[in-house]
Amino acid sequence: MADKVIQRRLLIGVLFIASLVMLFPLYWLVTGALKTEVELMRIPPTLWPLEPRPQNFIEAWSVGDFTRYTFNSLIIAAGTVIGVVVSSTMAGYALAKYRFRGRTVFFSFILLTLLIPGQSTAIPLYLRMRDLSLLNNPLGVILPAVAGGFGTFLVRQYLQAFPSELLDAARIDGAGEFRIFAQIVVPHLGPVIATLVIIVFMASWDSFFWPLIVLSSPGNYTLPIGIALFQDQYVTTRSYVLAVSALATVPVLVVFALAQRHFIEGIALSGLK
Amino acid sequence: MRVNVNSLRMIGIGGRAQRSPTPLIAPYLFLLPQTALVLVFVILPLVQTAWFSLNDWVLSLRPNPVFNGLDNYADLFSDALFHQALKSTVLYVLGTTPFALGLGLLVAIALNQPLGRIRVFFRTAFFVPVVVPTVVVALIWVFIFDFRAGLINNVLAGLGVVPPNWFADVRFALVTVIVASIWQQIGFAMVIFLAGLQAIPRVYYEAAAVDGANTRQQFFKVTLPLLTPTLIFALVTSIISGFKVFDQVFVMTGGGPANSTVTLVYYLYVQAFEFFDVGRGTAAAMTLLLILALLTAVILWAGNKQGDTDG
Repeated sequence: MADKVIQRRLLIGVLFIASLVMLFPLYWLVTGALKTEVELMRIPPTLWPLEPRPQNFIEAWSVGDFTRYTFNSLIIAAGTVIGVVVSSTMAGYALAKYRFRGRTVFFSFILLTLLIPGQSTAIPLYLRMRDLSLLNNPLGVILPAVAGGFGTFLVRQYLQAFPSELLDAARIDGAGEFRIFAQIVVPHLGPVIATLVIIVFMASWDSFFWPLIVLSSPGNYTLPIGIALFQDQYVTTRSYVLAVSALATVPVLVVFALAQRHFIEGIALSGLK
Repeated sequence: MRVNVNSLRMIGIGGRAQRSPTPLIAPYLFLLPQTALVLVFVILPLVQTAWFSLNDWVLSLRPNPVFNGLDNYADLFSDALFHQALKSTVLYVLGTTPFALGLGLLVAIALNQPLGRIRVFFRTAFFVPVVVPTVVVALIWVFIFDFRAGLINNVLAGLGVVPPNWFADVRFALVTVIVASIWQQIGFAMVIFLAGLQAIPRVYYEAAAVDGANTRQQFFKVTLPLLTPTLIFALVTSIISGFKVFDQVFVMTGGGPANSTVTLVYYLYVQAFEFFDVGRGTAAAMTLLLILALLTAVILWAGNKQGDTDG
């Protein structure tokens, strides 16, 4: 028994050190953002800023157009989240609870989109957006992001266990198909919608490749694009680059802290089923 | 009234239970928005990618594509930069996937032990890098790998090692991208493995213990076989995302030095969106798709075979 206790303490000790190693780059980001440019050049680097400069955050934010970028990121994330929730709850419900001609074909198509890397279709997609006049437009980022199969797949899996008897009872009472969906099915979708909202928000906040291609004028940049290009312009003010990087991470950390369970379950769920 | 009669049967009144009544158009209407989006923004572009790859079409030179057979592929495979991109991408995947998955599995196994409440802290610590935006991850590691004032080089200097100039050295630039990616991906693998481990029923271990299996035997005879589907899933996801690597490269190295960190998607990006060569770019995209399809098929096939011999 004593062996077990020692083993457990040892394991906790090792995990504790490993956790600190994992968290250290984030600590380094935040403390780096607080240092002066002179201190950032110091060899060896200081573990804690000698004269912390919180004003770095404010100055960096106003040097670039980051309020604008944040606003753009939020618009795109919100549009994507709403689009995914609406289209994939409907499609997922149809695939889970109706039997109809072509169901397997529809499902295979939706699954196929999970396997096709967006980068591989980027060139024709760019030309399509050009023809639709959606280049340099938030919609040009939102629409392809909504066209993924992930949400539909998640909702379908979730609804498989939903009792069909409930739907049939409503039909007997004369409820129309859309009313059944809106009033009986949707209220039961809370947990899966929460998971979807969080995962889609995080993915949208992080997305880089496609927005980089579609959004060409600084007024339309999202936060990741703005930061990446800011880094090119302000190579000499490293503390500013670190400061805006830290600030751009705050929203995802807040969402994560509030909804860690949904987030982790969502990943595990999509991974295993 | 037809609907009602069927509904009655469905709930067991008036004959044997049948399939749900099939309202003719409702499911199609529910599927319409998603299907339309997938058709316009995924399937059609996919078909066009295949078609454009067989055409000569540089946007700045001509308004319309002209069929040229496999010329783009011939150009692609004789392009030294494309060879470099293939090589860098494979090296990146070989450097990232085994470490991210291996460390993720180790952490998951450790966290699957009875540790008490501190387990939540550990899980959070390992998972947080997953949610940090990739651009930020890249910038953090640019800072850490800095030649002069970077943390790593100062530690190396302290240990008496001559520190490399990471971003200026063709041998080391890709390493920085790999390290940043491993750090970001360990938590993702951990979560998937943890879910897989927790899905293994306790009774299997109890039965194995009754039969006298020690911890090691339990791991190899119970845990590993039952975790195989999870391992395969994690492997496929990690390899696919590895072959798509772009963001970190764009921010950390810009493909340099001397093109040593140009990856497949970076190559595609440069061909299509800097040189406007649609033909060459889509040929690279098709190559990427084929590689991924082939790898996925091989891994799934190997996984099935493994499952058969275990069964």
